[in-house]
Amino acid sequence: MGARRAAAKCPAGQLSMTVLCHISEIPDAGAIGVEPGEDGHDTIFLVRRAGRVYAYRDSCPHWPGARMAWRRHEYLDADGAHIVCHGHGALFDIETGDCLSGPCAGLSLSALPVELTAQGLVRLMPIQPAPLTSKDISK
Amino acid sequence: MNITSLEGLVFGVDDVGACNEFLANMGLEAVERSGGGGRFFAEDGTWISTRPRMDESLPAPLETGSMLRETVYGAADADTIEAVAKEMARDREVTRHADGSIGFYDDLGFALRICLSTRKPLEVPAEVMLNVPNSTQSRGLNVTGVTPGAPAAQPRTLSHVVYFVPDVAAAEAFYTERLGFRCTDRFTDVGPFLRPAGMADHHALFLIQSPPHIKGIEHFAFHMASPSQVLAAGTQMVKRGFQSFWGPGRHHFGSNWFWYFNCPMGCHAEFDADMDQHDDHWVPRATAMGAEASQAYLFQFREKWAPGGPPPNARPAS
Repeated sequence: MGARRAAAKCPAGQLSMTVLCHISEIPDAGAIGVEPGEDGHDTIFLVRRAGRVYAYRDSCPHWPGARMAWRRHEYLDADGAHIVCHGHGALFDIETGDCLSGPCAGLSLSALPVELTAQGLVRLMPIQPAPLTSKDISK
Repeated sequence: MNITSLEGLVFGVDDVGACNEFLANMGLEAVERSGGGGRFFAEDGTWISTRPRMDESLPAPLETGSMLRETVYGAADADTIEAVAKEMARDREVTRHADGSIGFYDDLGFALRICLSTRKPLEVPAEVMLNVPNSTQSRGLNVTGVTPGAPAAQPRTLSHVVYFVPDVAAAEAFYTERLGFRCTDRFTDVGPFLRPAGMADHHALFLIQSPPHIKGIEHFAFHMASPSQVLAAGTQMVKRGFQSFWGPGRHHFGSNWFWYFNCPMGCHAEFDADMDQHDDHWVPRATAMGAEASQAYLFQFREKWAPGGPPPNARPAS
């Protein structure tokens, strides 16, 4: 695996304006994990589909704080049709984040607002509360 | 019922390539690996097999779509297999296979197979032994415990499997009353840790009471030879980009060290080591499930660093 894809850092408390990546870094119809904080692992993942980018916290609603990929950036099923939590195989709709089957059926992923700039930058928009941190996970 | 081992697990999966990639990276030996499936061995010959979900040779799936398709236990002798076949034939169909093994479904629909145990006895490598001060236990003079740059060891043997079940009382009754499993410990309102009567390990099977729609496998585990090997194997996984789920740490019940990872078979995969062993003199304990009860301690991986040298902003010596 290559070096960790660290999103451009900004001062603590201003994570909301973080540039997460350039859209060209996300494979078409694929996904990547990004780390806007300093947690030592990805806390957000981005899915690119039909020119749009969807952002979710890397946290399964079955056991909040549980990460979802089986390997770094592996958030989708084999044909790229759904988001998968590889903890127990739950399937999620890419556009809505709704769980379609699995332990958390009826619940949804935590969507994050992102903006695609004219230059192709994917920016995290102002949100409350701040993205998931290791503190949340240890609770 | 002299069932002496957990021999293997068969999965029917959506992404054979990803599953094979994962199992190879656990350190298992690939004896078969292609787009049509894979078969991966631990050091003693216990195994995991992957097949495409639609493979018609697999036992019927659970209605939930769990990718675990068959759990295979080993018996000490053919008489044990016959005894199980006779017991099961009282109220269910028993399939006889050409290799002498038998197949049937438990009371909740999990496919089981009993075969002759194929586990090979293994030597204990000197480097995994602990030097215990002021005792005769030592790994020997001039034997180093760490070999820099060495890859993580191969898992030693298949350890246990954990099921989500909608009726834990019915499931426990089946395994204890029909197959002779023993309860070693229990999380009240969750489920029992079970060991086959011919096995000393604290558990080969753990049952978790769960909603019906998630019936299936929660995780499987391989025993490593030592706690140090659990840390080495898990560290190697993290460095290769695999996603830690829980650990490293050490459980209370079973005393086993653990490190769990997400796995493309839609379950967790665990490395464990140093699990307690029991016989029928053991009196099962029971406690409520919770963070305190489930682990003696828990750690979290961090990137390597090294103390020493000058402070980061020190001026060069002039």
